[in-house]
Amino acid sequence: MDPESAFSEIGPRIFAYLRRLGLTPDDSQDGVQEVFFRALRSKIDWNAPKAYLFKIAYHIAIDIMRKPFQEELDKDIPTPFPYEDDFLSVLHPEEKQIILLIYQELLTYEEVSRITGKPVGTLKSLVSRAKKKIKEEA
Amino acid sequence: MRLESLSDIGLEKREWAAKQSRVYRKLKLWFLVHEVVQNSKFILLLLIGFWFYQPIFTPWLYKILWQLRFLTQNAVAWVIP
Repeated sequence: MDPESAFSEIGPRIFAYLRRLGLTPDDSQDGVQEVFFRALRSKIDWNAPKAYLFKIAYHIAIDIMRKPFQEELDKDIPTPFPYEDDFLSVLHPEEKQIILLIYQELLTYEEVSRITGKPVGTLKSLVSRAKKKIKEEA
Repeated sequence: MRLESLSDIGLEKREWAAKQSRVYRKLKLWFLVHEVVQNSKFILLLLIGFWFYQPIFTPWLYKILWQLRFLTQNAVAWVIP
C-alpha cells in the first residue's frame, strides 16, 4: 500500500474517528492531514500502516481536545454531527476513544493497548464501564 | 446507532468525500516544502548568513555577474592543451 491509497482508504476512517470524538469538521480535517504528515515524515512501513496511523490520531485527538477553553469560545459554533442517536455523548473522551477503536475500527485489545499505551486489563474495565453507562442512558 | 453499528462510517465518508482531494493536495504541498527545507538546511543557513553580511541584493548580483563574465571570457583556459 502506498501513501496515496492509504490516504483514500484509512483517511475516511480517521476522519470518522475524530468526528465521532466530537471534533469540528475543520479540526477533524486538519487532524487527518496532521496524521498523514507525521506518518510521511517518520517514514513508516506503508504495508500495514493502520495501527500506526491510529496511534498518531489518538495522540492528535488528545492534543486537540486539550485546547484551552477560550480558543473554543473564540471559534464559531461547531457544526454538530447529525446522529440520530448520539449515545457516545454520555462517555468520557477517554472511554469514547477506546470504544471507537474497538467497535469502529474492530481492533483487538492488544492492538488498542499498543496504540494507547494502556494495559489490556485497564482497557477491558474501561470498556465495561462505558457499556454500563450507555445501557443506563438508554 | 448502537455499538455494533459503529463500524459503518457511511455518513462521515460522505462528509469526507468533499474534502479529500483538497486535503491531499495541501498535504502534498506541506510535505514538499518540509522536505525542501530539511534537505537544503545548509544552503538556507548560508544564504541567511550572506544576507546578514550584506542585506542588499545588488552587490551579490554584480558579484555573480562578474564571476560569469570572467568565466566566459576565460573559457579558453578551461581547455587543457
